[in-house]
Amino acid sequence: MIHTSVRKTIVHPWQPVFNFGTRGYLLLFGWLVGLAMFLPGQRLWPVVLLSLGIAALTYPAAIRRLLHWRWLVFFGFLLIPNLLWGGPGDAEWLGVSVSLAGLQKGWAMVMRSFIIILAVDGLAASVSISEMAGLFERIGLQGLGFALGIAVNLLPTLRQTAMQTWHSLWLRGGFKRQRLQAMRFFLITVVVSTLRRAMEIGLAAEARAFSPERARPLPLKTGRADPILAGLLLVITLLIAASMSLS
Amino acid sequence: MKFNARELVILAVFGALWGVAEISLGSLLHILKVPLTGLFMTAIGIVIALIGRLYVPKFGATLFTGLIAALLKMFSLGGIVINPMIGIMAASLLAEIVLSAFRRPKRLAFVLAGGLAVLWTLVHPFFTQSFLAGRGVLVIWLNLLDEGTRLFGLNPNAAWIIVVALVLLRLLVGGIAGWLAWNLGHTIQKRIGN
Repeated sequence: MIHTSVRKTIVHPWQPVFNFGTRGYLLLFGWLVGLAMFLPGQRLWPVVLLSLGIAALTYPAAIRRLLHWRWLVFFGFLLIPNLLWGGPGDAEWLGVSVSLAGLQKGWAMVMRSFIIILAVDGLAASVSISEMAGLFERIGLQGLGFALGIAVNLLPTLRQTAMQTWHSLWLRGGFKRQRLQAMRFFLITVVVSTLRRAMEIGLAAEARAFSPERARPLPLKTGRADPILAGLLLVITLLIAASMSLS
Repeated sequence: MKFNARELVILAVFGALWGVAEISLGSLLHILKVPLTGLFMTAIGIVIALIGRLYVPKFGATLFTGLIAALLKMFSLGGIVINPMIGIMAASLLAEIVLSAFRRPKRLAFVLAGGLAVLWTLVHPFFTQSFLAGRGVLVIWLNLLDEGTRLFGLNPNAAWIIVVALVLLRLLVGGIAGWLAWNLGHTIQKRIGN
């Protein structure tokens, strides 16, 4: 009896609504980090709201990661010391002298970190390393895509070689005495083994007549919404600049 | 910066080694909040990059190795990766500048390159924490003095002595890293037979 299974389409709650191209994501990243770096603290909150909105539409998973306890503790570390010792104690809270100026300073730091973490997380989640390498190749760093591909592929080999070398040295009592000498042996063995493996890859590439100068750069994802995004960011930047010059 | 396929493969190996050290050991030390993590991770990374320079003694080789390591750092699971990425790039750029000033790889060039690259760890917090996290320069300066006081047991009021001691420590560690890279690199060349 043949059963036909119906595959249910699972809608992930953290799926992006908009998908931009590589340039779009990079533009967004640079714009957010630029605003976080150059805007004064008291003007950061609209950018926080804006970046939250953008993140919700483009890389919502980054928001979920920001709600992780690790980041909340990190924000606490930025805020609490400033609240307690960031300036002269001009208010009292639960019997403890606190500084409102320090609170303002700490809050600005939290907002800056929030925007930057969101931007970095979003970029890492939406632009793959090969796309990043493709971009670098286009700005004159030829062969970076090829080198990065090899480096990524070497990671499991490196792990395996390191584990084997470590165990071999450990079983021979290498780390009991003369630990520095053992570490030296370890490093030399790992480098030599990995280099030998890499030489084979190099020979294979040469045998296939690979040349970094003649290789095509890795393709970049292009998004239809990229020009719209660029225009929108330009308008917002001009509005921010206008509001700053008016005040 | 033009490299042939074989040179690219070698640079990829050393970039991967630096990247793996940063992803594994670097992340672990940062989580454990071990003091001077940045200093030692830069020293380890620069040893690897300088050994790579012995194999590809061309302009831009060290910077290229650093670029690969920085991109691999993106694989790091926790924390903010942009700061260590900037650190890796800055250290490799400084080492590249020194190595490019010398035409051929020399022990002195390696020692100086290591020293200058590791010295970046003193400037790094001012650059990243001030520009990226918006912390005041004074706070970072006080943290630096605090670190010096704890390390050397010096009087906190002797600010310039602390700074000189911190600079000397970095130059010493970086110099040793350069020296080690020269020795290890030659040993590896002998073992591999070229």
